[in-house]
Amino acid sequence: MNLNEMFHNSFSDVSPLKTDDELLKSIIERTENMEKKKKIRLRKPVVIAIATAAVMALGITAMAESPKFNQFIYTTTGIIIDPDKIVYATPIPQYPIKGFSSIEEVGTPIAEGVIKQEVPTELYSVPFTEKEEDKFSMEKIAYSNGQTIVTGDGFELTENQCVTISIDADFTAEYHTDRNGEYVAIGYIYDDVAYDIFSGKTDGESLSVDFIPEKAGNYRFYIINCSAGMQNYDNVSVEIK
Amino acid sequence: MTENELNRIIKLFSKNVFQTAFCYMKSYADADDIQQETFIKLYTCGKDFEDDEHIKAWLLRVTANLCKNKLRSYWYRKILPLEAAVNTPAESIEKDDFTAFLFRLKPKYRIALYMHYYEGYSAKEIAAITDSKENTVLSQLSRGRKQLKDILLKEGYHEFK
Repeated sequence: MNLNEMFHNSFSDVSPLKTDDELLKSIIERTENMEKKKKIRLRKPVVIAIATAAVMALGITAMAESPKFNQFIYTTTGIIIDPDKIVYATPIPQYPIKGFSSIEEVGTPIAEGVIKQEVPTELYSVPFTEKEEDKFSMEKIAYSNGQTIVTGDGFELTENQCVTISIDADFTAEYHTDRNGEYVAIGYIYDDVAYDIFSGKTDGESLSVDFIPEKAGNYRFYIINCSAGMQNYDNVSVEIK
Repeated sequence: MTENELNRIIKLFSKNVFQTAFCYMKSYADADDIQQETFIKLYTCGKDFEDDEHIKAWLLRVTANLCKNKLRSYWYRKILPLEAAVNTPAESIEKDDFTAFLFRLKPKYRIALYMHYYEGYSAKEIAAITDSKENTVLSQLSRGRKQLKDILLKEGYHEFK
């Protein structure tokens, strides 16, 4: 038996849970409900605008006076903390590493082979431990705009080995990551020069990027917080496949 | 798009969309959700299509994207709903079922194999549907075939060619 026959024997039995008529009915019902909600939204734009403005004004006033909110703003200046305010990271000198993108450029296409001179405002080495086979990760972390996580002493990689760098957002902290996504720049440092892999927005909950080294050697990976506020991660991992 | 036109397309492609979603999600309940979302997108997108093959390719691309988003989502990776637990393939599919062996592969390998061997797409067409490069798909097909062959031989499928 070949693969074509095996696929056909197996998948021909996989049938939808709904009949075609049931599916059509459910789609029509759902789109009609969506339309109704849209009409309601369109009818009340002024009310919503006023309500939003009022809530925002109250919220800003409340936040400005809230010691809990201020504590997260002020205590993170210059250090990376977790929600329990334990310092994980060790500051490392910005030089001689060069090549980081400037934060203003996040989301713009990355030019190949260009080495830039910009450096992030603060650079921190964070220990990564092997919690599963070939999967290195760190604990919960919170860091501010411009601060940069660098993955410890780095990883010895061979040519064309696939590496996946993943971030999972943490929404349990009081001043937490935006659920609509946050801007980050991710890259690697090879021979003391930083190169971009990705710059842009997370999907709100997570982000995974793949990297395949062209040469064997020691690679460190970095993540820059390019959003205006703090970002909290439940987990950051480097998986070597 | 009119209701009649949607009805016609559902009759033509609802099974393909469901099977593609099932191949990704390994769960009938999730495949059902994805199938409904896909056709809602078709009904509301207002896009002009050249022919039925164009519609099918678009539907499978949307299905693939919705599945990838769901598999990537924080919620999906951290929480296994009771319904999904009941529909876990290992429990609902017989031990010697080919689908169960296919589901041991990573999603990217099994979807490439499914698209090629069941839907009959070429590597170039799969690349367009899954938003990847043709060489990547060729590599996924080759690795997927090898891994699946190893599993099948290990499980006693010696008649496999």
